[in-house]
Amino acid sequence: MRYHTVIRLKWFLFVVPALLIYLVFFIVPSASSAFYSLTDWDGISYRFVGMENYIKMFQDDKIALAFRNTLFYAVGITILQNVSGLAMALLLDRKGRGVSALRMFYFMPAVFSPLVLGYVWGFMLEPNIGAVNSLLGALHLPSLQLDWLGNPAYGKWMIVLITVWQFLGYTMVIYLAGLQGIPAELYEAGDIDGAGRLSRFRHVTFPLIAPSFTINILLTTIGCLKLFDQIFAMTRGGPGYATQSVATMIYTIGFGPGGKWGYGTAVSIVLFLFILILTVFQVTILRKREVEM
Amino acid sequence: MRRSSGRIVVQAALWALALLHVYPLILILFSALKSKSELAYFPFSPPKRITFEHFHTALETMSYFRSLFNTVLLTALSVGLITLIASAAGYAIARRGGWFYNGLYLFFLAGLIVPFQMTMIPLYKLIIKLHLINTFTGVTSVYLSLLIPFSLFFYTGFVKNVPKELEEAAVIDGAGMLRTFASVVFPLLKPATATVAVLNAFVVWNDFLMPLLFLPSRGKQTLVVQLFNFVGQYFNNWSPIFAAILLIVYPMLIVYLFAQRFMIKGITAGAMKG
Amino acid sequence: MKKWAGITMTLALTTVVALTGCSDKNNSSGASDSGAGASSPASSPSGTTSAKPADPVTLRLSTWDYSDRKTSTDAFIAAVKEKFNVTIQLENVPTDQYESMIKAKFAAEDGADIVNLHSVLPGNYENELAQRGMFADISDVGGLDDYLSSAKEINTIDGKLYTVSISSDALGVLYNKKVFKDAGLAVPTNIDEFTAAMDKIKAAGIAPIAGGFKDSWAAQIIPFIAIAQYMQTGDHDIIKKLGDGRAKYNEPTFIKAENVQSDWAKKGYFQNNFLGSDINVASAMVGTGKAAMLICGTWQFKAVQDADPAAEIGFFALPLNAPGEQVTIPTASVGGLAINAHSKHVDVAKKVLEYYLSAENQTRVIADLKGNTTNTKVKVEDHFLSEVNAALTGAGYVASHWHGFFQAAGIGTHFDKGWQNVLAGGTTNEKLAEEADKIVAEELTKKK
Repeated sequence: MRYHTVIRLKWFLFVVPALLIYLVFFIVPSASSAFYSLTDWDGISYRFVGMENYIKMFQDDKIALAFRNTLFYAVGITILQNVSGLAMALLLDRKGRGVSALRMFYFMPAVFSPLVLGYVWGFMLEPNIGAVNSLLGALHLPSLQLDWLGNPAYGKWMIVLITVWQFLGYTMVIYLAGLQGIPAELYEAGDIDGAGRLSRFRHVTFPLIAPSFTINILLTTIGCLKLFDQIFAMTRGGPGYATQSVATMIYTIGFGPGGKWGYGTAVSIVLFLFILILTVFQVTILRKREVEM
Repeated sequence: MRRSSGRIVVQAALWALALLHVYPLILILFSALKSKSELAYFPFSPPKRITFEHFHTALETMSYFRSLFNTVLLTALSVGLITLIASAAGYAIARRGGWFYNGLYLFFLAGLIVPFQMTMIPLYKLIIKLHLINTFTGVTSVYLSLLIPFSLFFYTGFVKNVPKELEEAAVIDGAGMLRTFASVVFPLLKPATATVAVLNAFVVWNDFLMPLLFLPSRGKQTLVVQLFNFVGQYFNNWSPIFAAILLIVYPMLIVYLFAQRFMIKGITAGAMKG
Repeated sequence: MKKWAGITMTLALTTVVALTGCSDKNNSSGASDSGAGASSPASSPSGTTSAKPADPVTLRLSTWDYSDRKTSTDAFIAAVKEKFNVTIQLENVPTDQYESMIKAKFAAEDGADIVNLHSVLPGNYENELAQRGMFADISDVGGLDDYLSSAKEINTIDGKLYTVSISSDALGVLYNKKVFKDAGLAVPTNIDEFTAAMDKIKAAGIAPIAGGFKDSWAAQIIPFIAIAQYMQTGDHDIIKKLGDGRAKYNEPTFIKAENVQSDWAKKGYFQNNFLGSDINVASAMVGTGKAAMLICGTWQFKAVQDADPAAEIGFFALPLNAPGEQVTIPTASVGGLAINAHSKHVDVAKKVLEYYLSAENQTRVIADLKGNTTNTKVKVEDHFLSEVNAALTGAGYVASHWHGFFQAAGIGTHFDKGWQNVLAGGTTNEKLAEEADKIVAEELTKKK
């Protein structure tokens, strides 16, 4: 008996460092934020207000807008990033001297800080003196000189496009890994049966990269639901509240003048639950699919 | 052959697309090398006359070497430690299984979902209470707690692909558990470690919020935080900002170039069985 | 293999360095600021202003505007080191996060020794902190008599002085003189002349007003000036009344003030795509003559002039007054430094503050800020500032303390993003006013 207990403890020790740090620096603060969400804490003093923050939230149409925007970002970015990432992976799944370099180029934007790139893009998309509109002017296309970030309709799309631009390399790399795991024999079998390119993709490739697909979809969705840096740097959630995501909204509520941290924490807890539900939903569907493949 | 001409077209297209893809980054380089007035009039073309003045300004204002040291220190500490603790935990979870360890696994993964805003303020108060404010120990601990979910996810998947026979052989030879892990298992995790290390390095190196919150004194500031010295409330000094961005990113580019090979191998086995 | 050696070595080295070097709070070692800074236990000298104290002291100073005031701040730090053997450890936090940082730090009893503040007017977080005894009473600091009483009044609560506002900026029109000259225009003195001027400039193909509305705060300036003109002129205390519920936001005069900016937007008096341009771009447009006027505070002068050092930039009050009426100019007070009451070096900090407030240092600060100094001993020779002063002297009423506008917490963010939102078509001025009253009502019930 003692021997087994010792062994069990030894195994547990492997997990202890990670568990300790995770508990102290992550779980404990997260839990206490649950407490703060029931107060009207503004950083200096607080009163217990029960569920008031949560009720206010559901009546606040700015927060509803932020949730809608966040869904837009999550869906838009996940779809575009995965389609383009997969496309690039398929095109670059080959040998050859240039291939490494090509893959590097597509990955490179991910090496930069999203906040920094957001500022740079904000500068380039400036409607009056920015590089993009200047270039369009030089090409004699003044009708295309739009207010890329200042016009609410375009602003949201620019955030989607720029995030995809930055991270499609990441998605591509994960798909490449998946593609390289497909044994060549399966392709040859398909060729013998006379399958065309498209058919090969549908029946051999796509099913076998199901794990990559799962991971990518999950990671991009979760990341997008928390989207902050790019929006913060490019539009600050503006103009007005047009491009706010829930994460930037929490920031504005909590860190703007007259910071309402109690309220902000309540919103972040709701965001957490939102992401949790969506993730569980996604995982269930995607795992089912993987099993079937 | 019919195929090769088609191939050349595709190759050319890929290269053109790749260059277009990185053009904004190239633009950063061009802008950093132009004089302020040239930048104002010709923001999108290559510099007509190259000047290094903005790099000088940036180096000075950023206390570059000090900040570089701080950033390297912070990144090395965080990345080094995370690979150790995440691989150890991943090893235990992958090998033991059962409701306890699988439950722990999900518990750790939940961290991926939590938005940072939720923990930020209570975490700040905690760090102060523990007298860890403005210390590298404090910031590193925060990073470790944030990086655990993803790194653990990776390692767990990877370990599952490592054949148990080698460990069993080591045990028969009389090696204890720690020995087995350190000399047999860990070396086999190389591709995963490389990937985890590089991806985490990018995150820590580029991060702005943690050092701002937890390492506020000027002597300890990291590179990205120093960037804010150029962003005043009323006036953005763009030219040195571009130079500063390049000064901040090039070490990571170098790291990426070296790590490229390992990364795909690492992701292949690691992420697949997650 | 090499990779592993590298990683292990780095790990070992860094762990050693980290464990030995990095666990004291006041570790100050920066390449450009502190040199030989060592922190010593609090042996602060008693309040004589004569010789250098023997023991070096390190004081932490929080601020947000290092970038805007680099020259004077660097000089100040150097002088303090030389005169008092005090090392200033600067903690510069970007504006957006400033309020939160200060609150978080004070909540955790980790506030800096000296803190840069906007003012302690009611409604600001600084006021609440002051009321909780977070800041020291600086009434006994030397040199205060050199300052205008208004700079001290707004920062006094219950007879205790917490900071001194070191300058005030006027809100009005910064304009490119060449554009006006080319259009044959003289400085307008009432709303009719102003509107005519805008039409003439527009006809010449130049944007009359540069709007930097990507920055939400920039969308507040014109409404503030309108509120000053339409509301504060007749009732000097209207702001206080709005803050404590005696007056309501949702009534015609206020909405008329709000409509000035949105009407001008509809009539096309701003440049195209004004929601995509931030204040820097707007300033540059005026500096380079692409736009004629920037309606902002005088602090923005530097940004405008920098765009084209040869341009002639002038100032006049925004004449929203009807012909025959007098113009009202609102001013904003730039903040000052306050001392953390729980600092271990309050006495030393007070001496440093005294030096900060001295004419010698303030001359440098004003050179960076381009505001109107509140220190009567500081003389500034600057033709832009003389135009500003002329405008102020010629005005009918100078409404002060813009930062005191928002008496209720939350009103700040509400209007800050709100007016920008109106320009974006996301809401209306009427709705904003309605919601403002609700916010005030909520705040008041809380206070009971």
